[in-house]
Amino acid sequence: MSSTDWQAVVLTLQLGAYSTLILLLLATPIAWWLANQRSWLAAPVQAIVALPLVLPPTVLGFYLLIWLGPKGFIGSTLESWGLNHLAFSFEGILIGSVIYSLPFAVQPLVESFRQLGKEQLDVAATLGAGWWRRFWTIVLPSCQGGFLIAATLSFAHTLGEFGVILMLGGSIPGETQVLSVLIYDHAEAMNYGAAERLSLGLLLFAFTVLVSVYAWQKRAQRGGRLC
Amino acid sequence: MKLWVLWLFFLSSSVWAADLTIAAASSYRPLLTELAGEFEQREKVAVRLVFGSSGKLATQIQHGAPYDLYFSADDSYIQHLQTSGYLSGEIITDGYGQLVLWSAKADLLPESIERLSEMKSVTLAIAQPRHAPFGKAAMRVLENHQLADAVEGQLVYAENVAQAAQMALSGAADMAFVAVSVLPFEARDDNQLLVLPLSDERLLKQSHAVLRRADDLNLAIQFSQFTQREEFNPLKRKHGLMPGNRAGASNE
Repeated sequence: MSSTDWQAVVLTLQLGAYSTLILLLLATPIAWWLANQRSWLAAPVQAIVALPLVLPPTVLGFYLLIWLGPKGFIGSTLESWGLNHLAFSFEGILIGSVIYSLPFAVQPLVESFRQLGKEQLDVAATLGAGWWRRFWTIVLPSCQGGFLIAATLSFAHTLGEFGVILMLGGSIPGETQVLSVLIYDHAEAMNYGAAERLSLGLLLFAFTVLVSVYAWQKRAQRGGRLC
Repeated sequence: MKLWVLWLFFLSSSVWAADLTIAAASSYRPLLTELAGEFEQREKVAVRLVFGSSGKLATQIQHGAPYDLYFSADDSYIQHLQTSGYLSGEIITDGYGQLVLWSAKADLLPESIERLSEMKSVTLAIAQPRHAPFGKAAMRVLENHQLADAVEGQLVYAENVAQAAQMALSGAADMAFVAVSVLPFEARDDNQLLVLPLSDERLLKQSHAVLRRADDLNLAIQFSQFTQREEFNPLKRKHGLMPGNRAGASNE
């Protein structure tokens, strides 16, 4: 593998790791709220979270390019503060990835939180445990499986991202040229050997990830609950 | 394992910060890959190359893409960037691109472009004329020979000229309108390609300019001057950049 290939591998892993971390922090409160919410607001919020599943990546990429670029309201605000706009940058595709993979983090967590027995939490509350302590000592340990699946799927889905990155990030080596984009570039340069190698690598990785997720789910089901 | 994850987090992408980022039309790929490699060695700097259709890259530049130089396969895009104030200094003409019709099978290739109207069963790959110069030039040739309507149903559109070539080379399309430069050397067989002369010299005028936003303006100018050295003229010719003022017509 060439240095460009390695660069893309590390960049892709970085994007996946950062996205997953941000997603877990972001998705946990959203999922908790959704799992316990009975009001009419739940449906529109759920729809917004699920939008990236239905929308073509080009729509998301287009809006993000317009908003995060130097002429967009986010990009121009950043520039007026003396910062850089976010189009064609790693930070930009990170934001794109987080939005794009949001449903993959939220859905497993909602499922998991719904199966969590409320009695335990109520008992803990009456014993004087604050919400933060209840989260760390009850929710997190009993919903391990949900968190693990959410993290794995977010990471894997980020690795498979292509359209949003191509529109928002271009194909800049070391900055926005992740594996999926590099494979496209290799194919275009008629460098089929390199494209094949990287494609095979991603294929094996995706398969391994999914096998692990399903094996975990099966085990959890046998054990009686997912969380 | 934990250490490895930590390393991943602290290793910022700035580790790969290149000294020079060049956006170039796909037809420039073979030439610039060689020139940039040479420049990196001589000057001990890191150059990164981004390829795409001229139109797409020009749009990216207008949306703030961090490029230092822009190489265009068509005069109009680079002129537009100049009038909009994105360029620093003047536009340098590198030469003229050569449009050909290429076929994987030599016996399929028509003797002249007019014969295409009789070939109803062949598929023709073409780069998207709306943003890819070689696609635009090919469409102009078809229009000039009153063929555009006749072959419309046979055209398959590629994102850029390299992809159009890829379609024909892989056999997915029977023939492709491409730049000579994107064909592998072994594919540049006289029996497999038909040179298509152009009437308008501004089409496929290959030129470049330094962008005003360049991070290191001096280095960008240095690279621009480096590519203009006479020692590289044979290399340019080898990669399909013709010095003549009329593409195709100057075909020796």
